Amino acid sequence: MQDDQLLADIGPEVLNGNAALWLGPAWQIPETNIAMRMSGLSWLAIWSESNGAEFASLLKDACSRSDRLRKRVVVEVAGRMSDALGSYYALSEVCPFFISVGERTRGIRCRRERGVGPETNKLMR
Amino acid sequence: MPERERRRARDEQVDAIGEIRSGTVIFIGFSSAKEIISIVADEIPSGETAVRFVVLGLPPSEQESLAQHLSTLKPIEQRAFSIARGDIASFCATIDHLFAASPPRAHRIRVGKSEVDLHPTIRFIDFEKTAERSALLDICWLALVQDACPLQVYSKILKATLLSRFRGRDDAELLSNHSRWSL
Repeated sequence: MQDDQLLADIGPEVLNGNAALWLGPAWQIPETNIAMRMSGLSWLAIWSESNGAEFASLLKDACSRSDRLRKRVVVEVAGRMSDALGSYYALSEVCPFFISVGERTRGIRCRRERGVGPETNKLMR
Repeated sequence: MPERERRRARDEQVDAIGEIRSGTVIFIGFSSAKEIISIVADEIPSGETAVRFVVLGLPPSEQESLAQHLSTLKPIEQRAFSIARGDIASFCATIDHLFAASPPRAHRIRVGKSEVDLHPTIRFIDFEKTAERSALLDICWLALVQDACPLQVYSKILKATLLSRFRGRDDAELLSNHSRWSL
């Protein structure tokens, strides 16, 4: 798929607030105007493999300034989801910012060991 | 945090991708195809999700390597992944362009786990179906603001209309092309 077509395809998803970000280990805050544009979008959720604290702060700042974004709150999730989000959360109210994704140990996957159990289901809407 | 607990926490976080349902996940900030391949291989539930994945800003030399790997996946998994050749700047420029060019619209509503197509409702804006228009008098409001309507006005009217339909559901949200509103 050509880039123009691809970007035109996913652009509405982003504007719809129907897109999420996965920030890789090489992620760095881009130049200011681009960082501001990105933080002004309503992301469903963000997974960060890098220290995303600066971008999380930008998102929180954007949420506090924008009527459009104010209805959602950015919650940094560094450990168990229930510790940060409680037993129930809705993406319409919360933008979870997962900041411990970088602690990946390749080949070790608890999910493979345990499957999706009741505890996980409880968190699902 | 003990290692096992830390892994469980991390797995929970990654599993939350399932919450996105039919949304898009954009990968940014990767310097090698290998990093993304390991996520695809180890993290993304195979064929279990309607989530779409788009890789953005990967160095050109790595894009081919990733494309080759993706071509080895099952067709359903291949379709879930796309590689954008451009960078974040071109992506933002596209978003800006779309934001400026796209008129306000709201095409679906999410109530709990269900998404309701709003196109039948949105058609009222055009006043094409007289019978339906008459049946829902409040929809007539929309005609007053169909041309160059301010987004806020449009959204309030649409929300008011939909609110009556989904009253009492605190998990309902209206998805539009500019933002996300809880009803």
